[in-house]
Amino acid sequence: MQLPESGIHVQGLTKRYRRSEGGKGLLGLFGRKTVQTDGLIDANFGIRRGEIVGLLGPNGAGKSTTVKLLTGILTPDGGDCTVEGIVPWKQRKRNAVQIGVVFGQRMQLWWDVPILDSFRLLRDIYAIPGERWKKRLDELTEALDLGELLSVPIRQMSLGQRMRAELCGSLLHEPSTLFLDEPTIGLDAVSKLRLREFLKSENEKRGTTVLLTTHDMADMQALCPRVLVLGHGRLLYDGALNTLLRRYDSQHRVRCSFAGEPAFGEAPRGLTVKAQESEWEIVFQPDQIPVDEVLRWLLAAGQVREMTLTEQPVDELVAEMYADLHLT
Amino acid sequence: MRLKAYWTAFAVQAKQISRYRAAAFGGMVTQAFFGTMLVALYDTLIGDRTLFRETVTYVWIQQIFFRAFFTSDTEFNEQIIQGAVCYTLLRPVDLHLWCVIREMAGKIVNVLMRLVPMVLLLFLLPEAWRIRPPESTLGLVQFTVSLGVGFLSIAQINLIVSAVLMRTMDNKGITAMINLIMMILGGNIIPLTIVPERIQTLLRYQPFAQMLDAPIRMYLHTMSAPEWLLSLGIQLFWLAAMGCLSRGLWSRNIRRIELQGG
Amino acid sequence: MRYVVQAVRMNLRRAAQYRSSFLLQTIAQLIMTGGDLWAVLMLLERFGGMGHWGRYEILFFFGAMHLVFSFTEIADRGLGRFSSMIRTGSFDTVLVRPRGALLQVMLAEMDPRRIGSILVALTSLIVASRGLALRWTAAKILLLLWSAMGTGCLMMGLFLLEAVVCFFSVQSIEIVNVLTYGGRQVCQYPMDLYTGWIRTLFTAVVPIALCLQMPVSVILERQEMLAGMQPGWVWAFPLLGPCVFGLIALIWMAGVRHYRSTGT
Repeated sequence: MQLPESGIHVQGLTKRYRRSEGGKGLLGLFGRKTVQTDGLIDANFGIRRGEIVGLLGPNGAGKSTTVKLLTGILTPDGGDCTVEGIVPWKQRKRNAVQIGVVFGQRMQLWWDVPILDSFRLLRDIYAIPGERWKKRLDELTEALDLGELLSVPIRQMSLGQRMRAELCGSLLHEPSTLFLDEPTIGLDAVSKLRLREFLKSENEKRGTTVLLTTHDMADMQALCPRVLVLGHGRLLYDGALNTLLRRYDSQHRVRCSFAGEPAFGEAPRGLTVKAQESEWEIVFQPDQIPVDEVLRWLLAAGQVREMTLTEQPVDELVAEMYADLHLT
Repeated sequence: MRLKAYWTAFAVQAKQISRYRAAAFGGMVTQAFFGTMLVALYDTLIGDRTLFRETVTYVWIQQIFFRAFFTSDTEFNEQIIQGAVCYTLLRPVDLHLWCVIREMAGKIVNVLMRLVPMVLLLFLLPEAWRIRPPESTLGLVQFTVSLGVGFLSIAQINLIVSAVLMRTMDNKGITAMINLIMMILGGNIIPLTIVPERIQTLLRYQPFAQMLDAPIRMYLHTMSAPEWLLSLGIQLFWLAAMGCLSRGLWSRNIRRIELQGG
Repeated sequence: MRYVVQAVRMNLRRAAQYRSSFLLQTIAQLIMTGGDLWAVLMLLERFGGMGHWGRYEILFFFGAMHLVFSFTEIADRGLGRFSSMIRTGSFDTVLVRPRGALLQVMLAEMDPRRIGSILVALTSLIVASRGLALRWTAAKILLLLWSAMGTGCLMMGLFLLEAVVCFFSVQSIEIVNVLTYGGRQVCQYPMDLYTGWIRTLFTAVVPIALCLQMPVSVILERQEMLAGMQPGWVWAFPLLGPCVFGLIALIWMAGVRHYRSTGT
């Protein structure tokens, strides 16, 4: 079957892990039995060139397996997948030239030499022409603010600096597709924001396809209009993140404060009111009570000075979703 | 009550080390191989059969107790490097003694894990290449007592190394060097009993010979009481000297850590 | 090719980063080989020679073996560290690069500290050659280099075998040390000092005796080891080294396939 030439295409992709399990020590050599665990089962999806897509799912859901299959580290047990028309496990090296990979939890740059040396070595590994490399390096050091760090080894860097250096290293050869496996793990707020900004601009400027796994929902919301949700190795959802969240976002909360003491009329059924210091918090379910009815009721109570609509925290929604999909 | 804490330290460490049985097996095969190679070589070199049997026995005892030379508490050394050693300082115990006990526990378990299978393995060899029994029961007792002292002094050396480690934070260089010196001067590379006589008398009195060489000599030849006491005395002298040094280094380090907060 | 040069340069820079530690470890290496040398000297002191070999001849064998082994270790410490690459998952980053995995792993780490061992080995070679008043000819030098290269390949093959074991079990690598470090230890003495299966093992299975010791015995102008063979034949033996390496490289590739299909 011929899969399209551009973007990522995955059809019926399956990977099972066989692990031999036995007693400890010497006796473990005998009487082992093989245990199968599901890495990924019959996954189907496509990603257009230039899209940013997030992979979502609890630990052990198959996110890393997906990334490893698409980067050619693992060979699948069944199914097809192509990255820019190349089958990763069959043509590992050809695929490697066109992809960039960042593993958040392990460093690919050399630990104790200045990062510039690492970048030079990468230049020769990827056989990037000298001038092109120089230009690209300038561009990336500027965008990632690495100028002063080029002569510093990774081991002396902060986590945020390391991640920027790693990103630079994985983008030097101008890959058309970028895989990020938990890139923001352990980063502080400023570093996270910077990283997101950079990824967005890279994607806009160069049309780089980005596949991102993260547990950080704020990352997801900021970067990925579309998400794939995995659980127990199966693809459970493929679509807009907001649509998904709205499914679980059943409650609306309105916080408001009044000039003077409000005089509430009879509250609509199913609506709860809580006084919090000088504020009031109103919680209701929009599918039971129309929003305009709630608003009218509020305005009738007094002179509204401030009003904010707060949503349920995303992490709670995701937890709810995982519970709903029997993933926890 | 305190004593109980130390006993627990011993037990926990012993349990910890005994988990590495698979690695111990690998190490044992390696040890047996190296020993066999040495024995094969000495078989050609040493014409005198009595000396050969003694040398073979020397080699095997060295191989059996070989692992005791190295610190069993690598985890602790790791902690030192990563600065997590402060947590250990939080405990209401004498840190140096605590560490001595952990070292000893590790050594004893390491040796016991290897002892039985190693001896069984030796029975696969032709008779002339096997370890020979001690000369007498008394000799075995002398050997055992002396071996205990030997282990304690190895533990002191290991702790001196970790004390230096706390200062310099450089692991591999110093550890590797001390380990090598222990193996060379301790009689692992070549039995101290077959080096030329002149050098041998010198070597017998240096600290590293008190670890395994001195006990092995008792195993090979049962000593008369005064002879034994003299030998044991030399061992104890070096144990005391190294004990003082390691304790001194440790208390200085601890003071420094307490003052500077790690 | 540029990649290889760059990788070598980087490894040297890395060593230069930790100067004091580097010095210490170089000295440690020196002591280690020095300790082996000490043992040889003590035995020679006590027993005069070994078998039919004189003391300087023994010293020559010792120097040759350690020289080859140390050079091998300088070149491919990466293979020796392979188990930790598997454990920490950094082998994955090797696989996402457009180069052969074996080449990358071999270039991943070099160990210039072995210069300490090389010093000891060279010294004993020089002392031995002087003591024997050895007549060096171009052919002898060539033969020494040739057999050193062959044996180097053989040793690399053994280190590679160690790495292959890591694909299947990270725990019991120590056993493979028997062939690498054990091989060095055994073959610092001429093989005809041993008998039985030990001699068979290091002649027929791990042919260090053929690759290195027979050429060395020809250089020393001693025929006993050749068992009546024409001395010219020894030029062929070092070729066994690359053959063994190639064979083990095939197993390694199977290992990579295994890794990629199981993802341990």
